Amino acid sequence: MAGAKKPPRDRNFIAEAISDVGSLSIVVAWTPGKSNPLSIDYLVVNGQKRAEDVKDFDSPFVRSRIQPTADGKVYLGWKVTAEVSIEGLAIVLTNTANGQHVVAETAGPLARGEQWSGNKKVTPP
Amino acid sequence: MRFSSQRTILIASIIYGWIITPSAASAKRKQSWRAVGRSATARVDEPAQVGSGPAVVEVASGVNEALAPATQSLFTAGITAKADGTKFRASVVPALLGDYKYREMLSETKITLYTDTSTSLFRVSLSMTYNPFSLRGSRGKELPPKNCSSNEADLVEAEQAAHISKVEALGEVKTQIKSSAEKEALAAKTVTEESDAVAAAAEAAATAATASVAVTIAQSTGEPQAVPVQAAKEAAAAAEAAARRARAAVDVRRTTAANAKEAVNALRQAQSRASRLDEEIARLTKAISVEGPRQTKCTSEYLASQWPIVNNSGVPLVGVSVSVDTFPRGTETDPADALETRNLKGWGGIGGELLLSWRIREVANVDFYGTAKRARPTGAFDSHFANYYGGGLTVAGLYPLIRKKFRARSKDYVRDGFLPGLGGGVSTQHRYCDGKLECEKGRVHQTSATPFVDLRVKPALQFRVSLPISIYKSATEVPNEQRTEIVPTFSLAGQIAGL
Repeated sequence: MAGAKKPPRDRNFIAEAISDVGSLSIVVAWTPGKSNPLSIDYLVVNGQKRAEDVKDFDSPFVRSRIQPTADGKVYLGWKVTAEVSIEGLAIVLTNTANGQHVVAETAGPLARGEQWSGNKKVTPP
Repeated sequence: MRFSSQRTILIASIIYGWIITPSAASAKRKQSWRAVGRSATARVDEPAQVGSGPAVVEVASGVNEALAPATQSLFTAGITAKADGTKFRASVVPALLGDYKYREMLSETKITLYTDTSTSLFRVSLSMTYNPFSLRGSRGKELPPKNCSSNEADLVEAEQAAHISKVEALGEVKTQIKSSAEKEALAAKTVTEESDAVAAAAEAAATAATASVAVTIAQSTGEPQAVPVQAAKEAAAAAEAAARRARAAVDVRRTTAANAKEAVNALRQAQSRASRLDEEIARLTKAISVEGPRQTKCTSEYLASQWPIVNNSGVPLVGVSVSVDTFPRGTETDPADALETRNLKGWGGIGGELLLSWRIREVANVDFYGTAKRARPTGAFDSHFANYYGGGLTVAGLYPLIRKKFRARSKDYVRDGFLPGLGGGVSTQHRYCDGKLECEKGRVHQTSATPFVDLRVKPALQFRVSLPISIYKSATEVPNEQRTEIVPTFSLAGQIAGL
């Protein structure tokens, strides 16, 4: 195939990259989530802002490469604004390595303009 | 042209539309599924509704509801009671039955059922709308994202969230350090006790060895041949080993003590940091209690700023609808021959409509529609089809009672883009029927103009006064004579949500 090149023999870079990415992700999911914009005002993970004033049109909103703190926990802080009416939201910590997840918090219906914020300490799955 | 104002009727009608959602929880959903819906223009010939938001059911002939920002709802229903009968209308938007991606036209498809007790008409209509005013559509996607990051309060709140998590983490670390320090202290104590025991044993061994050597020397003074030199050497070696162990124990004791001291220092530092963070948290919490409303203001301003963008477009809302009319089937006695029974005609006809609605400004609206249908006026056995062609133009404006800079404070505006105010406009229509006596009420040509005035208080409370003036030529009366009909109408319109 023209233009195609052989991959490097040393594949260690892949393993290094994967190990660097980590397996924990934060997921903000909402329903109905298709073509329903939601503003992530901020998402703080272990004291670091991971998102700020981000608008997502479709559920879910994901931030990966989450590392637990020294005590093995993940500390979350968030605030979102519904831009259209939403029936339900959830903040979830997922582990792609073992396919498990932990629901950090859920919220009921939000009308346009309503906000949801909170803090939570989560033990990674 | 001769105007004969033969009939002037004053009708005060109270009309209410219902927005029905499946559950109370989703009642709020109806508020903003669509940015700005369009309710139909109530026509002279009552075509199928086009558009997305029948917040207010048909009010009066020729009156447009475009400035009432109705929203798309899963179910809507309304009843109109008038002297000649009751009209019921119910609509469903199938795309809202599930969580589906927004598709232009498809997501705005609406099925409407309509009945009119005065003629026993039952109408089913299907309407599809391209709605450029939807927050979920392509224009909604182009809206700029929220930009409250420069907002001090938001920053403070985010910082607080970060600090809270830091403090929580620190608390855990503090606990761990404390626990570790306690363990270290316990270990130090144990080692100390052990080293004390070893030192005592070494001392005892040394003393014993010394004593043994002394005894040996004393004995050798009297009996040199009996000196157990070997035993004395062994005792001395044992004493030396015990002394080494004692020194090592002392070293361990010192190290452990140093570790314990470090742990205690770390604990004190952690406590100090936690204390400082607690103070910071207290300060930030206090700041948030002051800055909180500003944050809300930023969000409200952001959401309010979307409406002027969304509701201002040269691209019109385009609605296409098709309706099918039916009447009850059955038989009736022929008035000309009492012995004869005739079959009623159940097929009422089919019609279509095209609507173009421009929202040239947030407070100004121009609607144009064209309609064509082949229908019969009633289901009577001797009724026949006639072709109807018509069109209309509505121009409407609103004088908002809230100035631009204060609109972000209005919850109705932020959520639905609803602007309270005084509205007004004119709606004109013309309809031609080629069926002469088969036309509805025998009217061949009918032109109407309806000036109207709106008082919009809340989405659920709107008043309208309209004055439909119709000029028509009737095939049943004096040929080519123009007649005028004026029907002043007062309407109270609104919504009841969550039924």
